[in-house]
Amino acid sequence: MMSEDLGRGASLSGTFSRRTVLRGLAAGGVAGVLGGLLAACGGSSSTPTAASSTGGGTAASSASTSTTASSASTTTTGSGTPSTGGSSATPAGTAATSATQAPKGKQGGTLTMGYNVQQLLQLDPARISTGRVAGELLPQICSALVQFDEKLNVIPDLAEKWEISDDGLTYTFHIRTGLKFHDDAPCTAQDFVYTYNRTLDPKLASPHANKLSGITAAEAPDDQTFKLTFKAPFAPFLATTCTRGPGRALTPVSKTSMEKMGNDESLLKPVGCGPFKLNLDSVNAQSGFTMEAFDGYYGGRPLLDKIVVKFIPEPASQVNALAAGDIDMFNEIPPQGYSQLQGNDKVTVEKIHGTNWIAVQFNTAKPPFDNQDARMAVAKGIDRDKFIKTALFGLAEPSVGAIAPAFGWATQTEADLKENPEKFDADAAKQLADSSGLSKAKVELLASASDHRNEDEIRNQLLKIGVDVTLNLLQDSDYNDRWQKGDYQMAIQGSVVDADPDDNDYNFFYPDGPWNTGKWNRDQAKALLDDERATTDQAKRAKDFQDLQDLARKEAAFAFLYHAYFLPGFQNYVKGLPKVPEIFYMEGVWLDK
Amino acid sequence: MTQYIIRRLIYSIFIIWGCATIVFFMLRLVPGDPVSAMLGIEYTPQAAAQLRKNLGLDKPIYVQYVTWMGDVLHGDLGKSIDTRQPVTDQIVSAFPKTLSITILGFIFGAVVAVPMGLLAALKRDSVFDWVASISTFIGISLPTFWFGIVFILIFAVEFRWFPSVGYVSPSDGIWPWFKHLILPGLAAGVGEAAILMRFVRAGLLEVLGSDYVRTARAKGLPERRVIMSHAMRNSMIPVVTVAGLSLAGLLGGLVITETVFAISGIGRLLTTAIFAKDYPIVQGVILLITLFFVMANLIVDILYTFLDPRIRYG
Repeated sequence: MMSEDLGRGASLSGTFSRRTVLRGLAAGGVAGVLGGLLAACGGSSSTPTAASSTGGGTAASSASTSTTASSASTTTTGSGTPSTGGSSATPAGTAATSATQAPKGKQGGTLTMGYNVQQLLQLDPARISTGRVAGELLPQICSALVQFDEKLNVIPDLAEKWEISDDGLTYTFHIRTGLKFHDDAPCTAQDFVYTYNRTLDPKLASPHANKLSGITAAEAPDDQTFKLTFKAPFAPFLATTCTRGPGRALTPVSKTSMEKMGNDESLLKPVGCGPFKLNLDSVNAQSGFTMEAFDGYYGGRPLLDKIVVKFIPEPASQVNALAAGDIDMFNEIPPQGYSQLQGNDKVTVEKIHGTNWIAVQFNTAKPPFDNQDARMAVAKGIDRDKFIKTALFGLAEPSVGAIAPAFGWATQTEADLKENPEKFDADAAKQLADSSGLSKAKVELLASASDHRNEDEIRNQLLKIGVDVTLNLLQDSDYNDRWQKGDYQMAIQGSVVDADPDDNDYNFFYPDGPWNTGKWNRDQAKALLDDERATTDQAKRAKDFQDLQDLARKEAAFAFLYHAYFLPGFQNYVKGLPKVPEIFYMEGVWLDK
Repeated sequence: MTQYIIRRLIYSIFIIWGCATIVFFMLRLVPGDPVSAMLGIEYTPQAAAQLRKNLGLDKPIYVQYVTWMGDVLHGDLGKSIDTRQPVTDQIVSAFPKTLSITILGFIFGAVVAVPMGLLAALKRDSVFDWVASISTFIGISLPTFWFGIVFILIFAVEFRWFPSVGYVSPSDGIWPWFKHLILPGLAAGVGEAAILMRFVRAGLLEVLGSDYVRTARAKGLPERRVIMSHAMRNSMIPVVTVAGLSLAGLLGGLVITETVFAISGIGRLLTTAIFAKDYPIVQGVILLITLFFVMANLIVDILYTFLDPRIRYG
């Protein structure tokens, strides 16, 4: 049984997530077509879609808007510009959303969840570096200041409300009373200050420390108030930094337990205050772990008694395990197994717009792709529809830029563009390849030795325009190393599990951004990204992102390829799983059997 | 004999040290950086430098080597770069799983291979011999993962007799443990059976044509006794050699089987660590595998003396 939820914007417009770049997950061991994607974190706020946004909203505003959207009873004070800009948004008191409502369904039972990871590298929120683990597993163990609803609006979680100053420089979170960590220690505003300081501690080497670099002060005036002061407005802050899942930098952990364990042991054993408590003895980096219902969860005991997570790295085994009934759900069905499950009336596979985008990244600092015509030849030489059909079993949408379809407020399709310079045109591509000398050049494409289906298809298609590409097959660690050092000509890269377009665009397009390894440095890109972070107007942010994509397309900084669907699969008796792209909230899940 | 064993054990120490040293330096010569693999997309030069410092990877290689060797001599294999869990704990967790599949696969293989090889040799050029030979070619030629997936599709997905993935500790029940091992054990055993059968058949055919067997028959010994007491015993020498080495080889060579059945054994631990450049894990597992190979060789050599009393070590 298949179900599709492709409503653009309406149901999936918010975002949460993290960016990810291709090889990342692979390094962590995640398999599958997206298996190569590394997830970083990202973040951004949920976004008010046309339907949901009330005020002007920017990212931050998304916070406010989202609250509004999520519950009629919430009040949004301050209109204007939530996100960075100023406005406050406060879901007054009622955070009433999924997290606080008593879950409806049958209590009890154990859910076995298959998970496509070769090895678990981290679970400590401050150190987690794979977006899918952070978005799909961690939210059960660690609640955060805010979370996403099904429409990807930012809604309350441990903070029942918050305010943002008019200048966008001060965030004041009001923490719920009576919160408890899984070790029974109380969770107060002091724990958020501890988490903030812990993330910044050099000894921890948190990869998320940079997300807190714009904060000048983190204070807890009392146990229920957590206050942050910024040196400059940062529109996507709530979604990228504060959410359950993508917001690892400020996701609280128990000081008592983490310090008792030390940095090494706590890497895989976070003690948080989420709906499920990690069974610390069960954690095995290679095989999985068990989570048990936490009676002290502020939203009430979750419906399931237990969730057993089993790591299944092989795509065929993932599909067979679900078909055989050995697992109750699988986090993401591999595209090659999708058709096998279509005929299975005991299994449901959701088909949801993802928050990802994948493209060919060019090294613009080295020949032959320091020549714009050479880049454009590749961009025009790829038939996206054929590519998706051949390499991805049809389970993706063509992409025209680095804004995923789940960001309905900002994303674009071919139809939205006056002109797409990268549109497939084999004749023009061939001419450009000849005139730029690309057809006579030695052209290399970086590829992972473990999965190069996409790269094979690129090679086949470019052969037709007279460009002979050599695949440089590398182990994932070598691949990452080469890519990070800019030691390549072309690489297939992109991002998954983003919380906001800023989540990856900033890193890929900002001059000297950490993922801008292709050295496409443009002042205009810098100005647009600076503006979208500072503005409080969500429509303006969307325009900034779209102008950035126009520029990237015009100069063929990337040859944009596709947006893959998010495909979670489960037995029909598994009920209550919210359809949030690339993130799971399992407290309301139950077994109808 | 005792002196021989002691001498071999001393040699073994040097072999193991040599392998460990070669692996230590070769790992670091291979391109790729464990820290970049760890940080993935969160990589920044600053974060990488800090992490490298925290993990001691910023020190000169010879310092890292001396430190590691010193720790190993104290029984400490270090901690995984990736997961920061003790290497020993991870090996101790993975080893029983692989050993279970190895032993079961070997038993499956031997149970099929010995009688089939025996019959094929005794009925040389018969239909049975022909069928057995074709079967061994198929068993050797088709990859283990193919058998694994076919077994899963038939016995797990279609009939739902056995689980398709996972491992259960014997402490959670002998039957659940065994149930989870049957399909991976069978998959691992197919290749073993095919190889062993070839050696049993070939070894027996060679011995059956030798003078002493002809003499035994001429003396009027019953055929059963000729085969079981004289021919079989001598033909077992190459079989034991192959069996010993393949048993040790299975330990690190089950990665495909472990991946298909989602069992986190030694093979998966090793390959995952190799791809991630998780040096301490690779070094620890290679130490273990070297130890097994060395011990298996020693045991095989000792077994020779029982199979053929003419063999003496001094």
